[in-house]
Amino acid sequence: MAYNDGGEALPEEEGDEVMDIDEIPVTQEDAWAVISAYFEEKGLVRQQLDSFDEFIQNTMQELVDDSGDIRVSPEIQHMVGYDDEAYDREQEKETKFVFEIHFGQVYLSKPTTVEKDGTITNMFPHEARLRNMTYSAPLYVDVDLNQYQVGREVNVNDPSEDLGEPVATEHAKKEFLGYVPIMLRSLFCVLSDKDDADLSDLGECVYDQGGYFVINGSEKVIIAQERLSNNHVYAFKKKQPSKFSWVIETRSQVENSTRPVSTLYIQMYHKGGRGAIEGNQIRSTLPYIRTDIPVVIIFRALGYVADRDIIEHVVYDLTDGEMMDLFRPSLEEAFVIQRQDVALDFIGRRGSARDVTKEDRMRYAQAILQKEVLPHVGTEEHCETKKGFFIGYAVHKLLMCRLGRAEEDDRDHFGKKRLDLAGPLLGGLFRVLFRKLTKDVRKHLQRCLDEGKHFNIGAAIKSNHITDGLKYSLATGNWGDKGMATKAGVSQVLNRLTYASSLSHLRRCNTPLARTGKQAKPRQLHNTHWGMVCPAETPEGQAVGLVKNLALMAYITTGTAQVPVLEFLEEFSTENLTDILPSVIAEPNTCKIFVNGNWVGIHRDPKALEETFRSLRRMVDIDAEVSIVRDIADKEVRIYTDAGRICRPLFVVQEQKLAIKKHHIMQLQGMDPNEKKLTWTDLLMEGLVEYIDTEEEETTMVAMEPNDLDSDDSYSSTYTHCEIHPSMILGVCASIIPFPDHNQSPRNTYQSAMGKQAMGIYASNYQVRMDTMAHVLHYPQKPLCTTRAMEFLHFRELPSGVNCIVGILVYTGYNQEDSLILNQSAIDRGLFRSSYYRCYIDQEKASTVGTIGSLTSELFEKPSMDSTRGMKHGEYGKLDDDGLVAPGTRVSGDDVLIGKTAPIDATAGMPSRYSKRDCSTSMKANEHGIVDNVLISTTKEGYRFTKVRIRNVRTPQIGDKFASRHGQKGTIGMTYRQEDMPFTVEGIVPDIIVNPHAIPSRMTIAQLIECLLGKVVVFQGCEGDATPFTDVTVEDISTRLHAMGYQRHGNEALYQGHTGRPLNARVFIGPTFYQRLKHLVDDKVHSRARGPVAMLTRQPLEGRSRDGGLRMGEMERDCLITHGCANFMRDRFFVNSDQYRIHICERCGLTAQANLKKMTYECRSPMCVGRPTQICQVEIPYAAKLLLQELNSMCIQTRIYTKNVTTRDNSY
Amino acid sequence: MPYQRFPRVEILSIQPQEIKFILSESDTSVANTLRRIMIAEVPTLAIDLVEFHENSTVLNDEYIAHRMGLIPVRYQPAESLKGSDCSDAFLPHRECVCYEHCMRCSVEFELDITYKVTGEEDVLAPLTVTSKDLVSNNELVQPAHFLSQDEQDEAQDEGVAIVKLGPGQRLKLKAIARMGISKEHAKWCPVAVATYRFWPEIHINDEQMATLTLEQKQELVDTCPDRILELDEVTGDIRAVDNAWDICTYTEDLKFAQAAMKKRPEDDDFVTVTQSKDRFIFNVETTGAMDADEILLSAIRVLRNRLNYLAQELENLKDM
Repeated sequence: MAYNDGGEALPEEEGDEVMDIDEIPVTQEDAWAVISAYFEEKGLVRQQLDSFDEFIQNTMQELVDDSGDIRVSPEIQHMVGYDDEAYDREQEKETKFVFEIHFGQVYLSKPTTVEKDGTITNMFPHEARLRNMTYSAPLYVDVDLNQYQVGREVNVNDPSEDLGEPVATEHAKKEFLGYVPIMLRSLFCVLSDKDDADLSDLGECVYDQGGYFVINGSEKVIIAQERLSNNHVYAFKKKQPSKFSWVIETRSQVENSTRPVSTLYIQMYHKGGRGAIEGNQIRSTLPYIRTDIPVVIIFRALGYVADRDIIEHVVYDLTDGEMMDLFRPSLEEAFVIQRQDVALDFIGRRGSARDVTKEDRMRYAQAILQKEVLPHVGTEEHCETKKGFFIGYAVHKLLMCRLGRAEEDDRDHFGKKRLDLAGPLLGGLFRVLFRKLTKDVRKHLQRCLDEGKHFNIGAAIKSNHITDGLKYSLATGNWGDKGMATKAGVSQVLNRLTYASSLSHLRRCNTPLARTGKQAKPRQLHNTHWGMVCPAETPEGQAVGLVKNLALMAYITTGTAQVPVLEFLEEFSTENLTDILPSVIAEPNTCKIFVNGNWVGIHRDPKALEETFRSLRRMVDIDAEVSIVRDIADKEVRIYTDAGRICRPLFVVQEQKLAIKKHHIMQLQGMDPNEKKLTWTDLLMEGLVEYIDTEEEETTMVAMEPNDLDSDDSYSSTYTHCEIHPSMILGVCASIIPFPDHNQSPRNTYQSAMGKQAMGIYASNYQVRMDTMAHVLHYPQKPLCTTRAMEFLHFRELPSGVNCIVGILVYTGYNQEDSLILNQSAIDRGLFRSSYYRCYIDQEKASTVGTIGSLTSELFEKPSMDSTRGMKHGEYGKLDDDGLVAPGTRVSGDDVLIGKTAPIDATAGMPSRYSKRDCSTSMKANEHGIVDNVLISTTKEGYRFTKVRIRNVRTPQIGDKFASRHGQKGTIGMTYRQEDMPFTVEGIVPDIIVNPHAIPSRMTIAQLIECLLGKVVVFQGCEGDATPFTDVTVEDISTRLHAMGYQRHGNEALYQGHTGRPLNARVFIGPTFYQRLKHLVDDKVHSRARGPVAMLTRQPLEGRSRDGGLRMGEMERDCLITHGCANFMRDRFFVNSDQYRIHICERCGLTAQANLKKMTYECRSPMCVGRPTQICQVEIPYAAKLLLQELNSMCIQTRIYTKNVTTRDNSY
Repeated sequence: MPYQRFPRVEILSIQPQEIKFILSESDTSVANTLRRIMIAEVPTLAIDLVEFHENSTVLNDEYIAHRMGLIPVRYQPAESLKGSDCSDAFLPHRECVCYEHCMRCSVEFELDITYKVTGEEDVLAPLTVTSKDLVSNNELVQPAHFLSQDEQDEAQDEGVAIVKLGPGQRLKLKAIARMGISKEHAKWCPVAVATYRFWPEIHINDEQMATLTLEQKQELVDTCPDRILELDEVTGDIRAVDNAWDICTYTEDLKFAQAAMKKRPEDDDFVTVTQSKDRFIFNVETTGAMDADEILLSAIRVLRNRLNYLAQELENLKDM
């Protein structure tokens, strides 16, 4: 074999020179060359793109291939009074025709769109975004139509039936199946091979990474869904109230199948249970079987009759008395059933088919064992041996656990988790939709045959199943068919607040667990999350720990075929399970081999197997993402090739030395123009780095940094790998924090959430985009203190904040409780100025009224008072004749932006002078701005469509929210002009004054270090390195600052701005990177005196957008009650709410009729009609009046009786 | 008048864009008043209203208008070489009788730049529109492009950059500059820096100093980041450097360092640095709108007017 001899072929002559370079140790700094190579090749959303490409390139074809052929034969039609003889003739025929439809090769074209006039044009993502279209490509399939003539007895529904040679065939090439949404920047996206210049010509952002879809103009991300891995044998301990002491669970599923997961449970009962059960016996829950079946009976039903056979499969080592004893109750329990047929009958009796013959029952039980139990082991016939071994293995594990020799499985271990990305999720959806489509084709074919019509495949394929189905799920996030209870929130609108927030959104993953569950375990950070999931970035509140974000270098496997692995195993003398004696398993050097959770065989030299496997993988002869786990204690080797495993690259260490050498680093950096620049793939191919998944990581020894390897006091002498860089454990948002290793951990979490609300430049093409809402910072700066990871996040190019001079002091008292004092002069000069964009959208829809004259649809126009009904009270004057405002127009609250009318059905109702109804769009009541851009286009259906963008400059003002990068947020409490701010001897004036009380309890030391380093760096004119887990110390920074003539800890003497006197204390002052957050007072201020009321209750509406009132709630009410201010209560809850007046008949207590104009009052209740009565006027809440009426409607009369009460004050 | 003092001004250096002087025999309140007036109340001209005729640039109107406002505008009276106080030449626009604006209260600038593409260029580099492109209707009033010749030599652009144009883009506007003070908006601020520091009084206690070893003295010298002390190599004495007054930043490092060196806590300090109460070193740098000395004079004028006004009002009170 050809392994491991590559190294010797190296030319010897070059040895000396190469050695010289390679003697220089590879340092942690050098690792950045490797990291750069990784991101250069992969980018930050590679998991999304790879997963989608896998779906397009393989999964889709596989699903079509797996769907099976459609076979239909015409049913003989019996028509009343119509040629009975023909019917009989048909009936007597020996043969029948069978029509078969076979779906072959699928083809995906480039994304296109069909306009209303039928022209097909190539689509570009930007056009899709602007015109609210879906960026999707048409999918075609080759279809073969075969016609067979077979015997009448042939069952056409059995796909395995051989129909012989077709009598006629027809090939339909490239039949249209439907539109498949295309992920941006994936292989099939038009942008995949474009350079920056082309991208900006196409209206794309050059920094955009893709990884999302454009559905109806909005950008949708598929959030990775976390789940427990299948086909793994889990052992869980149960607590007392349960009948069982231990339970084994195996969620068995055949890879890529539609069948739901079939879970096999094997339970051990508690010792000394109730009744006849004596305890410790093992039973199993089988699908469709009502009661638990003793596991020994299952063995017998599978054909292992003899006790010895069963014990060999379960206990392995027959000399293990302890385990034999523990298994004895199970054997004894099944003592009465000693034959396979009896066992099958035993199982069959407990199934759903009861009152049938014994043979049927046995066949039923057999089918369940074959098809439903452990389908991943096999669903074809003669899998009994393998299933026996597998169940035996599971029972063995159970016994080991019960005996205390094995531990309970950890449910939260990340190695047992899989992430479903766009590929598998879309695959699942496509499978369902394609099945629906084939079902329709079959129905159509059957009808055509039965009715003797010509069958046209093009007409039979209903392409909107796939088009609409995929679009529906992506647009709403409800994964699955319409109407079905399905997972919600799988696809979300891509967050475009700032560039980092978009990136982070594309790397998010969700655990579909009930948010309400108060179980803490799944939310906690697990050891195995190291390097895979960001320890800081998770939302606060109900989803804490359930929504995770991938670490920067985490990579998710796309899944590879397991066939090459199986071939390798066979070649490397693995003994197949069917060929071995169970007694071999107990031998000391044998080892069980599992591939994707399925036990395939045993091997006698696992160490060699593992080493060979690893070396093959390091040459990428076996795919780099396949993982191998050698569990020495359990004598198992587990190999995984499935999709959704989370892994990350690590440096390979051989003999305490990194496999990567200095010359590789230099080649990576491209120092030598003569040598080829190395890429990440080269590193993988040469075995210098490799992907390690969470499970394999358990079997490795990873050094934290290269220095740990050869140092004298190194922790271990058996390192197998080395971290590429420890700062890569962080995610996108946490990588922006300088010195996060000096912060209290929740502060990093807070900043990770806040960084997503910071204004910046969210995309370089923001001027041509028409987002519903966008904030753009006017003078963004790259931070003085950067982390190395920012390079890959493009934080320098698209930053979201400004370096401000921040003083930490108490000054005048306007910065208490997390408020800030800002320098008004700095604001005047443009500090934190931002533009706010809002887009209003409307389109001419088809009218519901129908055709009246020429008006068939709604129309953009300037509505005129004389012909239009229901005009708004806003200003129509700013509209042009085309019904749209012109760019450059200043608009404010309630101004009409888009004038639109809909025709009224003149035939219905009374004749009126109006022919149209107003459907205009007006500005939000409390916003104003200038019309920035107006777009007019047509929708796919050909209706006119417009987007109007309003722009508004927002200067910082009191109440606006700001935050540093350390979870220190605050609002402006006061702005002072430059002359009022404190100043240093050099005349430096702070831009922001922060209260010192914000620091000690929050322990955001990193903010202080950032400030200190910022100060050094500002004088030196370079960037400060604030990467976590490096050797930079505060002492170093202080010394540098001192050397530049400043106080070493950043303190300076300040003078009071108002008086000019020196401040007593020295003040910590320096540059700190601050972010402006999107929460601006202008969007929040609200007050109301009078205003709109709800129709039903006549109480004030709620919410700022509706000009609603501020609710006096129950708690506020309690306050008023305890204060005893009854008049104020009446004022709040009655007079200022829903005061109403009714008239009451004093005689009967019911409402009376009052005509205030004519001054007539009467009570018409039967009791009072015609009799003299007194009418009195009372004031009650409108809600009370409503209650009375509702009670009336339920035949409950409520009467109000009034009484004259003399009060001291009757003034109201 | 009791406690009347006779403040002295000693000019250390003077350039059009920067002035450094010592104000002595005065008080903190006076020094601070002068500083505050220089920053906030010296009237200057600045662009206050921009009328856009065409703007196809990447920046929106408000953005460009704000940038234009921040361009320093210099008033240089005829036959003068100095950027001077404009309050004699212009009326505050709110006090002017004109309808919108006129020559008495404002200056008009025009700008019309188009990036024309001939189609022969290989590389289309962006075109920078700067303050040089502004055409004034009053030749006494011009944008201040640079502070000094040195700055001009170093700069990449012709003047103050306003916006960069891409091929085919055009910017056409009319800008109106008005007189104002920085209390209203910082664009009317004539100074970049106007600050003072207190004169340091460095006292070295020779008696105490004698108890220190050479190493300890060296440590004291090194502990000051502003390097106001030096060790005489020959005599081994610590003394203040000659320009200590200019570089002293009043850090407390010295205090803490010597506290550790004292034999007893109650011992006298080896070196004390205190801030003089009546001597101030001023440093004023301009934005280019006015010359530094003119700013100072203008500030004094503003102060005098204010005091006169106050005196007048007091008189009026007496009469009542």
